[in-house]
Amino acid sequence: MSLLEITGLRTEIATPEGAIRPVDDVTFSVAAGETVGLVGESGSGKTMTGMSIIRLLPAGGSIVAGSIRFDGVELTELDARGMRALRGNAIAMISQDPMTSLNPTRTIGSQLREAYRIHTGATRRAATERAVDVLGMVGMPKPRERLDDFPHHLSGGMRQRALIAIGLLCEPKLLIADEPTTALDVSIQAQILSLIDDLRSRLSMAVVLITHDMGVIAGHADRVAVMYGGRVVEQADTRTLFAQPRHRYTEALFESMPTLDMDARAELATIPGTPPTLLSTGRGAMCRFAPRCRYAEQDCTTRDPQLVAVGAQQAHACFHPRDAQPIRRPVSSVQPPDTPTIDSEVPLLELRAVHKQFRLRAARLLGPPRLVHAVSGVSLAVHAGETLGIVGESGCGKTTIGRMLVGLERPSAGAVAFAGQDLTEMGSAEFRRRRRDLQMMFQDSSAALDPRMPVSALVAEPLVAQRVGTSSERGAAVAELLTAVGLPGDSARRHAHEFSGGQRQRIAIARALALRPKVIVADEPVSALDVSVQAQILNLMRSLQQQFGLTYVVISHDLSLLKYLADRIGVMYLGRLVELGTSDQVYDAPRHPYTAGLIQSVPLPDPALQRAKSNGGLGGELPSALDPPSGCHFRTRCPLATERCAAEAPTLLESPGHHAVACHHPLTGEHVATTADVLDERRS
Amino acid sequence: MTSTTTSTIAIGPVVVLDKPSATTRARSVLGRIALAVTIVFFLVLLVAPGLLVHVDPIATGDDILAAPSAAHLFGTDQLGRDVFSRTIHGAHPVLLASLLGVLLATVAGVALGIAAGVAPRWLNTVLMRAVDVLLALPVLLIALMLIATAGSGVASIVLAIGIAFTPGFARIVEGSVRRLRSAEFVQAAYVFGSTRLRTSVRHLLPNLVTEVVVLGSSAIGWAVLTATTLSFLGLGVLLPQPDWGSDLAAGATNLSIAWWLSTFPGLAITVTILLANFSGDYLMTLLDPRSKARFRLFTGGRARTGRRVKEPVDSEPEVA
Amino acid sequence: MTFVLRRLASMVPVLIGITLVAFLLIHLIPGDPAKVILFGSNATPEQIDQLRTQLRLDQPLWRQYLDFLGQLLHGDLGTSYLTQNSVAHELFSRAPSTLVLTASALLVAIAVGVPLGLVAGTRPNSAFDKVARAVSFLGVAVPYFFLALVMVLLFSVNLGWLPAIDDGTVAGLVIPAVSLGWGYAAILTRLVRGRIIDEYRSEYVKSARARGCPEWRVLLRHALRNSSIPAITTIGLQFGNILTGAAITEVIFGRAGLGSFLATSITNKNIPVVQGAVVVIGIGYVLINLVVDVIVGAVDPRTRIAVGAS
Repeated sequence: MSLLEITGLRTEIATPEGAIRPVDDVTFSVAAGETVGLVGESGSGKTMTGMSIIRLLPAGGSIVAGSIRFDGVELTELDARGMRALRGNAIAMISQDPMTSLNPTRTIGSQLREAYRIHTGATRRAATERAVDVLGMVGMPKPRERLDDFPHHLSGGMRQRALIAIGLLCEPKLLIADEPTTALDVSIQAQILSLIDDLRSRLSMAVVLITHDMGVIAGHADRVAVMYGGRVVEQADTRTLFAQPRHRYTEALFESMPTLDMDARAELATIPGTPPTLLSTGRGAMCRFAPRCRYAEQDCTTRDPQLVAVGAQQAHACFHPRDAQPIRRPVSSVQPPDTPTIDSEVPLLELRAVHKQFRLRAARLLGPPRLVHAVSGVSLAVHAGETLGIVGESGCGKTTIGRMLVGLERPSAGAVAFAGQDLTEMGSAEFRRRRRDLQMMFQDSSAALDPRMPVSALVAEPLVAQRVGTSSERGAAVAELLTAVGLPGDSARRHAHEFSGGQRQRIAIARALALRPKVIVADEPVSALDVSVQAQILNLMRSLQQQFGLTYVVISHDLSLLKYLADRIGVMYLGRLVELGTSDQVYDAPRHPYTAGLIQSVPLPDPALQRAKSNGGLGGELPSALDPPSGCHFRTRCPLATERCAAEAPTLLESPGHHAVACHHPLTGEHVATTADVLDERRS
Repeated sequence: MTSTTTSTIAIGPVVVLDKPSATTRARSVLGRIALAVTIVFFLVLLVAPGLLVHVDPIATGDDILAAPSAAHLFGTDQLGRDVFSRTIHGAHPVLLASLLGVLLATVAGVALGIAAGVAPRWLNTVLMRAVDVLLALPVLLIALMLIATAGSGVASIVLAIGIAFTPGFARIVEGSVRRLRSAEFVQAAYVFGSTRLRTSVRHLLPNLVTEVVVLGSSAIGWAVLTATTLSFLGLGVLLPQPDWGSDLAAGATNLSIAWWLSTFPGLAITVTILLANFSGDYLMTLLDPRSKARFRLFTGGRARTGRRVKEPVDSEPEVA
Repeated sequence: MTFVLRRLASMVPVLIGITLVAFLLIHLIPGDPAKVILFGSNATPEQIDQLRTQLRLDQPLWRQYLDFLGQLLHGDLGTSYLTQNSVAHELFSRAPSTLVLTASALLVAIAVGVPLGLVAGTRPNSAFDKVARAVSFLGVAVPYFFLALVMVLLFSVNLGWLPAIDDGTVAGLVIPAVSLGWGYAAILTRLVRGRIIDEYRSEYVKSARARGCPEWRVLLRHALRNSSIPAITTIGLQFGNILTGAAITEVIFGRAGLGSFLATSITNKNIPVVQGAVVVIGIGYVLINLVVDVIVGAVDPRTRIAVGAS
């Protein structure tokens, strides 16, 4: 008998434009002590399923059919008071964004005590003691002192720990974790996920882990339910699902993910179209995935597929499932040319010992203004035709580097050179002409496109600004560019907000291409997109690179993405470049302990790999850029740190037979080889 | 400013309230009607009050303090003047003063706000400190000060409203300019080589216009209130001329025997402010380019905020 | 503490600016201020000269300002040239009555506006909400001097419940305070309603519910506290407008206070009195908003770091 059993759950939300059904006939169960992953793209209904369990639906939402049995109690029949008694008591929930999920005006302690006293009626003193205990249990340093802190005093990771602590106060039987780590950096993500694993086994509670990230699922779920368009389309135990997915959607999802072990030259498989929005979820009997499925046939659009059990551990809702065989990456029919020959004599774009400081308000009245060293002493050369990746966690200065490369930010010291010419010394008119060669794709395409302009004007704008061509020539160029990025012909007249995220990113690419630049700096080009859409954009970026002979600088927090996209990779930590090499060198034989830790922290969509990993991830948190540690910035989190590291900052040096690293004690390739080992094993 | 206060800006006389929540179709039809009625109403009262009434508002009659009747819709006053005619004609000074005053304040406020918004830091500090000083003085006090020195009359009221409303406008416009300047689409324009001037004309201004129109229209109600308050105090038109404020004040002395004297000018003021505010709210939804897309439902997606935090957090990027 | 010091430091230029505005007021008068002031009083040239000396118009501008500032620092706001009394004395003897009315109006605004906004915000689009929105829309539109007259007509003339003229009793304060406070109650209603709706959509309210908080607790311990912040700020920013509104209400009801005094002074071009009023009201506004910032700082710990001078 399972702890939680959901059968035929249907949730509707009344809106002024009619009722929508984010959860449509969902069935799954969770046994005590087990972690069930609920995975899906945006709009798949996974969050609403979690919210239905705890019955915290948005205004107008209600459960219209089905049953939720929890610990022998039918939750759909429970009144509001009964439900309240369960929330935070037997069922706890941690939600998406630790930055906003704590009340900003109340102390951590008061929010912890509140949760405990509501359910136990304990005294304030007892609640305080319990709060300290639980904070200690979730690994919060100096828990008693934290009680009087306000949420904004804590980092994102610490806030998530506090939220987990609130959830655990009453020792729940079930924890619903809704994207618990999406807003966090990879190293912190790994810490939080292993904390949840650890707590689950210590408190023997069940966990529903809601996420979009197959890597998170692979490492932390016992069983998985894949959701699409409000339905569970496939469920299985984790190993089975990853080894042999049966539903065509699951299969397509796996194929479209760039992973560390895939051939970087192969094109990613894509799922055409975009995930269904909640509003457009049809009511008719059909497979929700049929419109995007390359195996869809007549029956897929006329009948509802039901979950069919195959074997003891797996069930899918597909009329034309794939055979039970291990998943294999399709080899692309279009074989991109080999890595371009690099003319290493003259770099196309170069950073020469660049520093960038931002000034902050003084801490004290009349005190000196504080300086944030966003970038300190970075030298970097970008060669024509290559893709250079820059990776690092938030606050490492990678975005600032990107902005300096395209001249949006002036370096405080050092120089940015394009084809040997120093950009900072150019006159403004000359620099403006130079900008034709240096374009940028921004993180958030919806913010980077002027909401008042139609797409035709948006894409033509660089040409207008640079006075290129006549207006009819520009019109032709726009049409050509829109075709090149795969947008429908009628897009030109519409406004940016009428497009989906992936399509907006295409518009941004078309605009960046308008001036036929030599270099495009792309800042987190796909981080806001769903996995299936990500692949479309990545493939597009690749094919455009060949077509237009582009050089890319791709800035990302996502290592698997860069491994796939980049020829060379620079790793940044707290404003410094700590490692630089080809992507194979950096991944297979990282030399900086930080890079090694980062690679260990990336969740891999492969249960075998993910579980083979030792706890070699990164401990601790990023120090403040206002007051960075002396010497090597990484020494506070480095297992190999010595006194020399505190005294002397290492410089980025190549050594014979090795790529460049800034470390006094570089790794030789024996310390952290787990991932590479398993990969090697598999390749042979 | 912290995120808690951004959705509500309350400065000086101008209170820009939260954007109306997702408007239903019914409301937008109502808004369109209100906007049309307001424009027609204001135009007729300003330009051609004779269309509505043929009686001379100043002509005295024998029928003194007559209650509303078919002959005198709103009754007559202590000199036998027709209150309906006076109410219609009394709109002229009020609307003229408030519309011109708001126009003056908008022009001055936008100019000052843009200047401060694009100025170097020291100049911005100087300008915004001056604005702070004026914001510290209540609108009516500024208006009274000006009238105390420049004398009473409609021209003075225009000037008084114009000057008193300027600092509030300047403060809001300055904030918008600064926000827009750091907006990614403005940054993007620089990347493809748009000049400062071109970027301002193509991106800053069009996006600013919306806010200015909303600001101006929501201030009209306040301006009407201010103008009528001043004329209520006897600082508006000279007495035989009709004016809502002064007629309201004049009627107050006969309140107990002739309720209609004050009531009709008062209702006229109320209806005018109501119409102005309603149209302002409607304009606010109308001019939002994303109004149709605003209806975005809780996508079950992930929290994306974490990745969009600019580095370094909380700082104002400035070349050190 | 740094926060309060920083706020205090940022007040200094504003305070200097206010004195400058007050000082320059007299020079805004077109022509010779002394002649304009005494216009129509059949003043002899000697009297005009005497006034010019009294107003220190014969001195260089910077000297005049320094003298003006020096006097201010000693608490001397100048001398009313009509009564020859100290302006400070004239103003402060009348201030309490005006402040009582201001405070009562504020009390009405808060007591009506906040609960109305709260209930409406927790039940958006309910019948109550629609009524509250209509009332607040109307509240902003009805001018307070008109509302005052309507209330007098209704409650004093027709029903005889309340005195029409302020007689110094609490009952006499009801109509002025309610008519003045009503508009601000409407502003607060809209503000609080909007904030509550926003707070109810926020993640932290969702997590409070997820840990089993009863609704009353969600409202009172979480949402109310956070939505009170913009309400407090708004009250601070509107303080000056309420004060001047109170002055005008006093004129309507024949209350002795700053209002009628200022009105006479303005018609008589009694510039020193107007200057004094500008300085006192300006400083009062700045001080009130300092208090507001400190309160907001206490309610919302984030602002203690983030709040700037602007």
